[in-house]
Amino acid sequence: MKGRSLKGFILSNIVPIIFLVFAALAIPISGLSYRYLFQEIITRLSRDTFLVLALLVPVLAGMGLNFGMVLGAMAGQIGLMLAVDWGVVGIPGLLVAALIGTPISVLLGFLCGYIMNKAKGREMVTSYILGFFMNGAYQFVVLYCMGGIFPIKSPQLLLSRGYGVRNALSLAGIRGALDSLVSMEIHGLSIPVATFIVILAFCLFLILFEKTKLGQDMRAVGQDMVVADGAGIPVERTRIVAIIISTILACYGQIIFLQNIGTINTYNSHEQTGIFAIAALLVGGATASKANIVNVFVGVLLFHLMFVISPTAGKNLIGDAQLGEYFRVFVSYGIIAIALLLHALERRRVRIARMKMENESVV
Amino acid sequence: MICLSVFKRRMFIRTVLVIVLILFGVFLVFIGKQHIVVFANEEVYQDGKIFPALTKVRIKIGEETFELEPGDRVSVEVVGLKNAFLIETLADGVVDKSITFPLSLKLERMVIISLPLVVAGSSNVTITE
Amino acid sequence: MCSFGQIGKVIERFGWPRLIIAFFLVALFASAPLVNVRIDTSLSDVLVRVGMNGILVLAMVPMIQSGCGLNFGLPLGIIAGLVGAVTSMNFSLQGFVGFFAAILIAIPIAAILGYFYGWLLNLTKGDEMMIATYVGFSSVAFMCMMWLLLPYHNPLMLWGFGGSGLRTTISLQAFWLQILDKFLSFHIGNYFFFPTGSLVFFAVVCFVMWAFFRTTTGTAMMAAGSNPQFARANGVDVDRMRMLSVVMSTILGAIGMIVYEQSYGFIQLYMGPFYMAFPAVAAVLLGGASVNKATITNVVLGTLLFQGILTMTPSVINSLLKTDMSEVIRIVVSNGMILYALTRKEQVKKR
Repeated sequence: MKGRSLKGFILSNIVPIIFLVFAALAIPISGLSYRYLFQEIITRLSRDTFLVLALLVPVLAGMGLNFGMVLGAMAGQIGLMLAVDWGVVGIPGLLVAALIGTPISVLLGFLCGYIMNKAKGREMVTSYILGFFMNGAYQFVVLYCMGGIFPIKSPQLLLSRGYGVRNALSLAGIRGALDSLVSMEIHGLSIPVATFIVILAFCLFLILFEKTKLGQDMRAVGQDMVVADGAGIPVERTRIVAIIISTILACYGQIIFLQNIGTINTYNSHEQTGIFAIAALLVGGATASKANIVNVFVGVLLFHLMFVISPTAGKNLIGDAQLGEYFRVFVSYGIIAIALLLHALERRRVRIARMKMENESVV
Repeated sequence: MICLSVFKRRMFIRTVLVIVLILFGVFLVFIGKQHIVVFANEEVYQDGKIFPALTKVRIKIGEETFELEPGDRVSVEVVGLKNAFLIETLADGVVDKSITFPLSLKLERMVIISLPLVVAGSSNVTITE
Repeated sequence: MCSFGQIGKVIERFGWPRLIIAFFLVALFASAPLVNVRIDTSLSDVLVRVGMNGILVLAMVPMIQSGCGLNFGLPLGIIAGLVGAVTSMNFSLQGFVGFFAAILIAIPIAAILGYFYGWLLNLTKGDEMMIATYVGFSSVAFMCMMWLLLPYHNPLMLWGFGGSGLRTTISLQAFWLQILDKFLSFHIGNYFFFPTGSLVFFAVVCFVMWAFFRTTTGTAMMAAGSNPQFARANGVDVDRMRMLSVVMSTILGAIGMIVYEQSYGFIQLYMGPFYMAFPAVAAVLLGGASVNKATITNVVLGTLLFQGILTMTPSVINSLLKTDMSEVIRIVVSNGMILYALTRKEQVKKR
């Protein structure tokens, strides 16, 4: 019995284990000091965890991996741009950005959820493409409308032609606002305590949310839409709410992310957000149908560890840092592919098992 | 309130919530907005009178201290509504006059304070260019 | 519905987005002369691009018909095409010899990759599109590493100063640049260029596909896609049909990429092929295909419309608004089409 549960544990957590092994092998090769790695991990954990947490709710509701979280990231960026434009700095700046981003996220989340409902069974691809589509709409707003139809006060934000937002916006006033609010130094490592408090508060919120009626509804919808419908749960509406929550969280997560980085790349920052968050979640052992908070933390840790190690390890191993870079990209996407594969196999297994049960009950 | 239907009550609470949030947002903008204060130690005209530049003046605002010669300007970034600054005129290295001037700002991006006017006790010390 | 009669039926069949885009394209052409854009140059640009992209779009058809969905894993076929092209260039093969050598090398590679890809898809029925996308992405990233390591030695292709590894963009000028385009081509006046070679090639491949779907195997493939249980009951090996369709799609992707390169003039390695599936998917959907049904007409029509939009929008709108909106329009149009197709219910196929 004990042997079987160990094997079961390894199989069901194969992805993080592979990553752990890889990290253990690559760290010495990369030659990076443990102190440097620790600091990087702490910083990245504080920066990226919130975004990954945003993915949990749609998985609970059976909608797979919400690639549409990019929409929330875009809303957060617009909020930040306006906060910077109005010259609001520090924590008030972050809060203003969040206040502006929230209604935009609700709108976009509603749109995303609505469209995903129209494409049941294909939610992930749909949200993926919707992310690209919205990127076009975002670019239209930010590149053409802002500064023209939509008034922007400070000319430093605009391109030289007079309208359209510049590519790299400095967040000088807001940079580190949350991080340095409460910050600790241990052994020379700086820890942004306030950010972690926000993250932990949010994890608590998620745990409590699952116990509420809405949370239970989502779980029911996630397990079986037909049964949930029969139990009187408004399936379509619940799914849309799940996506709206996810989008709002992605908005806040992106704001936290950007206040750490200190610059907005107006046209690029949000693009990788969805990919990296989803890859991190999957590395943590989650699947498209099952994900919990432990997956989030483990995933962010391992994924970003690999992120940091790969270029230097590649350089020391083969003499080419570029190779390490490509290797990192390869692993990020490969992981998602493998995880999706396992998820599909699992779905198939469940479907076959269910059909077998139905046949037997008929007999 | 109990007489209103559930729907109306929900709408009422939600509207109140939205208004509270908007007010909160406005509040945040006021307390969080960053201003640029420019201190100008230059000759200035007001009400037909000439106020000459001060020979030497020291300004303390927040944690920073500046000393200005005639014709100098210095700009400082401040955040929020109430910022006070201490202004001291120096004659031969000795503090001559010392005024704590309260600066109350609202939504301006930049404001230029004329130091001679402050020292002279004028009621309106901002100059526009 | 009945009250709209004929018009309603046409709209229902074509779908609003397609009609809107078709009108948009006509409007662009009509307004071209008004903004000093020559219609004949534009027309030949569109024709060249149709020849360039057509086969890549055609590669979508087998997988759609067999029920594997939209081929977001097209990068696998593209990579096979790139390897073929680069290998042919490595041996300094020029002209038609180089071109066909590239194709001949690419086909077996595409077949092997397609076999692997098809095996994956058969394991995961129902979730194909997402996995296809990421398999495509991972393989592009994997090839990025390979391009640095593989032992190619033609100095025209490598990094300068004796570096190792292939360059990101390799010019085809010394090899087979526009070899198809210019074959039997003709000019009318100064501005109109008709790329006979590539259009004829495209037509031939289309014809081959069309003929294929009229054979027994072809019909079996369509059956496997429209109704797997029924097909299985009639003795069709659904898995084998799906596998075959994936291999065909990948091979077409490889050939399509080589045709694309000869017209474009450059071989784009590394991250170049990353997003190349999306325009092809959007084009076939624009032409009237759906997630589970596609005909050759869809391909031709879709490529014409899509490339028409891509060509005309920059020139006309930029002259009109004095601004470059082409990128945004391209993103909105192509992804909007894919979204529209994804959110439609499954269509019943005509027999």
